[in-house]
Amino acid sequence: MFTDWIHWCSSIRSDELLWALTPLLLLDAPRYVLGSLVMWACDFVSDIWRLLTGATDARPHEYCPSVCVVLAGLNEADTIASTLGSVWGSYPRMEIVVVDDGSTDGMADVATEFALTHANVLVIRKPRRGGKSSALNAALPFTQAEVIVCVDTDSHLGPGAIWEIVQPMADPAVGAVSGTVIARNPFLKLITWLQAFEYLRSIFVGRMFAHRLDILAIVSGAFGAFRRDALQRVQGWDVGPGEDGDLVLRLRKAGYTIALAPYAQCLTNLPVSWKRLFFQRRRWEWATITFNCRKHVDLANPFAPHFRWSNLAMLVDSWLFSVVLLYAFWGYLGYLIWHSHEDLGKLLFLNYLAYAGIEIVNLLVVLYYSLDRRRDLCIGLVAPLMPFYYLFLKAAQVWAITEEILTRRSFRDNFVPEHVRAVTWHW
Amino acid sequence: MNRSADPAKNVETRVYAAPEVIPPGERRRHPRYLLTRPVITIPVLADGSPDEERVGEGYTIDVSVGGMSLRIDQSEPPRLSTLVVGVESESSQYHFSTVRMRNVIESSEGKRIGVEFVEPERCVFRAEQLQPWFDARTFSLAPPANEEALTRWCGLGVTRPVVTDYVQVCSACRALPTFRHGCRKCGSARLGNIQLIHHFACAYVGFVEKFEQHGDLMCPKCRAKHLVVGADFEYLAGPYHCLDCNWRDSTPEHIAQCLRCGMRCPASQLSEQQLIGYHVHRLDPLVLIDSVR
Repeated sequence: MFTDWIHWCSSIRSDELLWALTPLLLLDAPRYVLGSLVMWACDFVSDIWRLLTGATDARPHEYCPSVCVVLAGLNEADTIASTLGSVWGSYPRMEIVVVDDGSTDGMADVATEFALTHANVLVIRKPRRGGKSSALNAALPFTQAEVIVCVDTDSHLGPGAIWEIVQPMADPAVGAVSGTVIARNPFLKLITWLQAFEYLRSIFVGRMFAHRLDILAIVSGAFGAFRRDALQRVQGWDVGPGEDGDLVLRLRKAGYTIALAPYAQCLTNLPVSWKRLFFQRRRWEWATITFNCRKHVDLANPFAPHFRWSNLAMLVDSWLFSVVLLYAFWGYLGYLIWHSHEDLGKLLFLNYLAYAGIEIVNLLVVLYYSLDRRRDLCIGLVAPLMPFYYLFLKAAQVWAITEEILTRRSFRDNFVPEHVRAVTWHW
Repeated sequence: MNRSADPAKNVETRVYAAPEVIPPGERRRHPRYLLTRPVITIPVLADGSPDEERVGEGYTIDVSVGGMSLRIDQSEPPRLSTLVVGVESESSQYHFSTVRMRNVIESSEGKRIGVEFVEPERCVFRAEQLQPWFDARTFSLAPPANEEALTRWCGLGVTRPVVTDYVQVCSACRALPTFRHGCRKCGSARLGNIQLIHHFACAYVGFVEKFEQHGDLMCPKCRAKHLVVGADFEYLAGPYHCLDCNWRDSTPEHIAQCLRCGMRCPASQLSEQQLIGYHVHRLDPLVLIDSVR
């Protein structure tokens, strides 16, 4: 059977091969593989040159602004103490504000216990749930720190993460810095293993590439830093879901640039069931339509104040790869199934191998930049299964985008409490 | 019959000089019900403690709302006029009451003792005597006044000690404290609190002053006007701040101050005192009568 497939591969013409690999060549290869490879090649040459000249890349942490770490959460009594433990004492000029968004499990009590024995920890209790945006905004009146760092209450900061994430802020043009989110529980289940590799590929390396092109459009809600002046200028977070991406677009609109601190790492717990993963990704994808295609479409207007080509490129990147080519991918798949022929299995296998090959290349790039190569190599062992995982994600993506385009589904989601979403603007 | 103000003096008169024929005025006016139940009698000494050496056993003859007739297997009747009588109930549990001896009648069947239930204020086991009490001199809760006597009653199985309460007392001098909301750090009760507004539509959270515009509320972020509390926004209480030491906290601490030594500390640092009282199964004549009916 494999011999048949080899014969089939050797017998097809180059134009047929291009047609067979259309989704790969259109969607994934240029966005993830070529970009990563070019970035790696540049860095490799640069590193070799540095090696030959004896120059060092190690930059000391010289910039030390005052920092306020905001931990906003709901019903995270089990994890808040551990998160506080990982944050407290990791940076000299730091205060911590914990915002309890109406928890019923005693989260604020746990945080208060911590505050009693640790200096510069303030706990704010909201009597009822108002959504993550308002919880984050509630911390702002109580801090005068220059940099606001947001950390999810179920996450754990890596060593020196705060130091790393504030360094790009030395540039006054930078309004926000994205940290890197990696898996805290990668080997718990197959689903977390797959996500862990995806995070390495798309958050760790993928954002490096986006940052170099100045089209970084997201600062993870799990770990990100914001200049306080910039936050005050845009008046904090708007109602979610997708409030982190929305804030970044508003900062870009206000003229700030978005930086990346790839080695400021935050370990977060990943969803452990396919259903929860589906709901999480659906929420993420809604934001593509709500913010990139509706609310902030004026970023593409060349006559708008603060217009930047990078903002236009960022939106085009989002429209093209998250919407147009996504539909093209499913259209192609539908076309193949509709015009099913005897070589369909061979064609799909060819695509699978090509996608798996891409993942191997991605793994190599990840390992080049990795801080913990052994762990990342173990995570990368799941690469042959990634094509199936991405198929699932693409299904979730197309579902979410379609329902958001047609029904504005995001404004009926429980991520935002009903009394808030009833009065907010439905973009 | 003359009644002396000192009950102890009446003891001799009543026990040993009981008339053979009881004048009509002295007889019980309430209907009597025949009742035969095991009974014990314990003479009460002048200090309220039991006379363990003269505990008598017998049975009841009749009972009324005002008193009882008992037959005691004792060659010599009790000398003291005040007795504690325990009557066994149907559940084999003894129930006790304080009684006063009225007469002793010799008959062929033995000595028959007539007793009457004493007034509540003369009862040996008054509620206030069984419970700890507040000592205003030391601002503390003291054990029951006659604890030694109560312990002796416990030895006879009449009373038993029970934990009635747990109270927080000063860890230094065991006196009672007063409580107030105060600063967790310095204990000051001078606290300030800032009110915030959360505007639902844009998620903005800011001080109330920022929203106030010419007598109306306007969101400084999205410029929405005529905001209605509950529908458009909610008030949030910001963290408390101490006006003395500037400490900020989400909730004020319960601060205790000792009434006696003045020590001030968080309520969680107080000691806990166990209050011991005494319990007695009280005899209710109506219940006895009801069981006869």
